[in-house]
Amino acid sequence: MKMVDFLKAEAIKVSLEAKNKKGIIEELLELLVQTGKVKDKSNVLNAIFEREKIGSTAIGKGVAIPHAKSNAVTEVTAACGISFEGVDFGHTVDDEPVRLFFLLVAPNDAAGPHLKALARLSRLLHNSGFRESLMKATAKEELFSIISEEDRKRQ
Amino acid sequence: MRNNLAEVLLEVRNKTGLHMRAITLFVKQASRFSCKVTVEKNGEAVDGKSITSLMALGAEKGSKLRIVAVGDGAQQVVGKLKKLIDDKFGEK
Repeated sequence: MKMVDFLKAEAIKVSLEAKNKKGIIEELLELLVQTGKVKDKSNVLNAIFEREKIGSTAIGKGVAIPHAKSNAVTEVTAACGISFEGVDFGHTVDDEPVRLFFLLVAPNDAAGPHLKALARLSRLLHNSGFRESLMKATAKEELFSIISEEDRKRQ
Repeated sequence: MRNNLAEVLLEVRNKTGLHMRAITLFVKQASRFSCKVTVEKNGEAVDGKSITSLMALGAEKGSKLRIVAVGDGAQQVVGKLKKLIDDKFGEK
C-alpha cells in the first residue's frame, strides 16, 4: 500500500489554525468531510477522541497519528496537516510539541488495511529527512509531491 | 555471557495485530531495560524500542516474530515481551 492510495492532496492543510489538540483533530477531520470521504463527522470525532483517551497517538519527533475505526468511511482514508507553532498532544516519548499530523480513519471491519496504512506511514516517517521536508512545506501541492516522491523511492 | 542473550520465536495472536496501542505497551516494557532489543519479521530486523520502526513492520495476526535481546536483563525483557504478546496485549 502506498500513501497516495489513502491520502489525497485536497485533504492536506499546511497551516493548521487550531492551538490545541481537540481543535487540531476537528480541523483535520473537516478536511475529510469537505472531500466527501467522511459522511458522519461527529461519529468519527467521537471514535478518535475515545482512542486518544487510551493514550496519546503522538509518536515523538513532532509527529502524531490520531486514528480510529468507524463505519462513517468506506475505505481507509487520511488527512495531513502542519501546525507552525506546534501543539501539546498529550504525553509523548520525547515531550516535543507536535507539528506534523496524519489523521487516519478506517472502516470497522478493515483491521488489515488500517494496519497496512499505519505501517506505510510509519515506514516513511522513520526517515528524518522526509519528516523535515514535510514540516517545511508551504503549500499542500508541495507537501503532496514530497509524499508522492518518497512513495516512489521506497518499497 | 549466556544470561546476557535471549531469543524467542512467537506468533502475533491478537485479532488486530501490532497496532499502535499494542506497540506503545511493547516499547514501554522494552525501554525499562538497558539491553538492546530487536524484533524481526520476515528477515527484517528493527529496533524493539522504536514505535515507528515496529509499526512499519505491519505485523498482523498470525505474523511470526523473532525477539532478540542482548545485554543486561535480556532474559527478563524477552520473558515480559513474550507475555505481552501471548496475552494479546490484554485484548479479548
